[in-house]
Amino acid sequence: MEWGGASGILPFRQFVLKVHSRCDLACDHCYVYEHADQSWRGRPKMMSSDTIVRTAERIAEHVRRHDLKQILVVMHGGEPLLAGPDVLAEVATELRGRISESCDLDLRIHTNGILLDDRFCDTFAAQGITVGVSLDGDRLANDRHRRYADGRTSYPQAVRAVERLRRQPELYAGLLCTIDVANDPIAVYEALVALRPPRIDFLLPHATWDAPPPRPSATAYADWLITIFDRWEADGRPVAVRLFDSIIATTWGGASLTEAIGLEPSNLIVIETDGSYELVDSLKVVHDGAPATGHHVANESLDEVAAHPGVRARQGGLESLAAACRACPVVTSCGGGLYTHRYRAGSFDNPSVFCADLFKLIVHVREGKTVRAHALPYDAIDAIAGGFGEARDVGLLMESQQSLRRALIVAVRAKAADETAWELLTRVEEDRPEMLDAVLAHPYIRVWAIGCLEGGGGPAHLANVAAAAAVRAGLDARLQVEVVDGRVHLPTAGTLTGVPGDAATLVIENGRVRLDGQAATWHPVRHLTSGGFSVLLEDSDPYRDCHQWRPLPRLSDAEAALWQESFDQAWQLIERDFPSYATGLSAGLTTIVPLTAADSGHDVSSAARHAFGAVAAALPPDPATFALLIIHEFQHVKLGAVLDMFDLYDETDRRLFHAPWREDLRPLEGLLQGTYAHLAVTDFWRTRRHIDPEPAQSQFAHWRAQTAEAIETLAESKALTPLGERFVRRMRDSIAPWLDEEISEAAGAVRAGG
Amino acid sequence: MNTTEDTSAQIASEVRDLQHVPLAQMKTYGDVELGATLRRLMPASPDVARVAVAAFNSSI
Ligand code: SF4
Repeated sequence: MEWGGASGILPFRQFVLKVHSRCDLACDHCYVYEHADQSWRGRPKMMSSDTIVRTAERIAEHVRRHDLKQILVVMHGGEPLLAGPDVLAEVATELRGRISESCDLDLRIHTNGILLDDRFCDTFAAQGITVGVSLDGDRLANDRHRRYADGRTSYPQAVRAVERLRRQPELYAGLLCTIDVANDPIAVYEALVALRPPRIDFLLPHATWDAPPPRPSATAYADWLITIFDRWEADGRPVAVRLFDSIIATTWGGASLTEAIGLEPSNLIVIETDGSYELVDSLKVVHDGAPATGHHVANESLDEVAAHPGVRARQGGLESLAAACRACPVVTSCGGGLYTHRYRAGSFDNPSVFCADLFKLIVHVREGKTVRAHALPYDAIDAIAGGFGEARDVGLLMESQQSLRRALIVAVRAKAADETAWELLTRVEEDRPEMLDAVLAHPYIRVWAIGCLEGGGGPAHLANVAAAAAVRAGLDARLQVEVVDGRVHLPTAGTLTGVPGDAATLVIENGRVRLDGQAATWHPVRHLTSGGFSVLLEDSDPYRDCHQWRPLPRLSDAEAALWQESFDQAWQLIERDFPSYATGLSAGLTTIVPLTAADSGHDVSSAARHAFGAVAAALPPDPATFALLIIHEFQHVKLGAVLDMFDLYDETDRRLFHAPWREDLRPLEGLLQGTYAHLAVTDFWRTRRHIDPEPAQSQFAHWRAQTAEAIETLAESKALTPLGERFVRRMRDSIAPWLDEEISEAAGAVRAGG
Repeated sequence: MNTTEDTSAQIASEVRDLQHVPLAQMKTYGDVELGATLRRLMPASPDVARVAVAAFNSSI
């Protein structure tokens, strides 16, 4: 959360505009007309142009003052459609015209839908307004409360409005259902889901300890919601349900999505038709005048309203809750429930009037939700930060990477046109989960998935991933796969070449791969091996082109033999002379990608942040250089994985820093990555001194001085998180004794020369 | 510097351990479960659920 500067206020980010104060229905559960606060009687029916302009000015001023990047404005009522499309368009135009483009304005309207017609929908489409509709479920449920004043049903009109929105899904925000436990929960759920809303929410009826809800049993509301929750889970969660999603999110330490539960501070303000600021709407059930602040858009800024004690009262988090709530085992999800529901005899210092229901529901939802977070023991962080890391430590990084790849695959699935690839993946997982894991561990799956999710590519490669898993698991399958540059690449399995077009039907039978109705040549993947260690020689994956240098095209057998010989010698050297790196490498290095050599003859090597496990290089001139490149680049791989898990520095810090080995200034991450890699480079030459004194002596002298200097720059940057500071201290602990080691005079001279 | 450091405990990340959650179950997971994990990789992606606020209850 962001508390605003010297004033110490929490800026508002949600604004509820009461554009019309009357309603065309007479729902007997409405908090506006049917509860204690009757202030609507004295208010203008509609927000005037003058109030609209002043309101927009106040919001724009607040956005500017607090540099807000995103706000939500909800047009509400009464029934806001009674204001007519022109007034609603005016509200949107005044807001959009005043609020800076750097702020994302999420503009919504919430309606009973009765008046919704093409004119309104055209206005909403033109103004970028999304529409939520109140609907209490099936006809029987809806008719229980949502009727016209003369008792007629409003159900057909509401459903017609929703059907209208379904034809323009970009406008359809979702459905809001107020719970009545007399209704059949499954009938309510089915009726809502049948309308295919993008999200729904179930609202507990407005009540306080002084005016408790109808309650046929001690936990009637929990039981009603649990019936729906269980069905929702069994259905595979066909729609987002805000209340359930909030309990799940808060269970895992995330934020609630609704003020109905959770510990998040409220950042919402209501502006009435006459321009008065009011506290949260639901307080209308407490007592007459309860939401009033005494402030008005004509007189007070939103900053002044934000300092109002009634606003602050809903921002206190755990500390502000009743003692029973503070001690409650589910308080991180519940947060004492909706503020209004806590009211009893002039005080909000109570648990919710729905306490028993909330407790039972949250405990039920939490059952079985045992997904834990990846963690690193501090001794593993210390070992990695020192430049090394045992197989166990790197293994922990690998495990978190595997979770990241699984999450990415799930996210990509949502973009796929059909489910064939997904179904094949789940079939492989049931049959041979270790084969699915082996394929998903391929570094360039993440590169492709991130590109797909960030709009830089399509989801078609998901089929190739699934096919590769099926081939490795020995499952038969038939599916359409992606063709890139005449090749069908199945990661970690092999490549079919000579394929025209951008898609082909792949057939996998008895472990053999062919295309349906066309010829193609199958090239299984090759490996580089040394003793018992083996890595993939990746020269075909179309997504490997993410390094600074161009990857080499598929190697000939002779070229592959050269790589094999060089790798074998390099790995033997690493195992013999650099055992403290070999153990981490053997756990985490999975893939070598051949790169095009530089024209200048300089060594070329690279690691890519999204390709954990891969090191790319042009064929080095000798085994020692190959060993150095592997050790150097794998430092980037390890640190990238740590940064995937933890913040080591403040990412908003845009300052640039001097890196001793570069002429240009570097952002903090670049300096950290470079320093961490050069820590290992220093150690490499430190060891090589005893085998090959020159140039090792000079290189050692050179790199230890530069790395030590960079470590101090990092330590003094004031941009590190506490964990980042610890990380840098460990780097310093490693290099400190090396600075005292003897070097020859000649090497010292090189160092002095810089 | 006078600091004490904890070497016994561990530090938890925001990356959920999804290794043993079957894909068939994960496909029903919403942004809620995956959001925290994916935000580590793509803080600005529209596919990743934003950090939520205590949203107004009476609209959706
Ligand atoms: S369940 Fe009851 S005691 Fe626990 S936090 Fe919620 S309202 Fe408070």
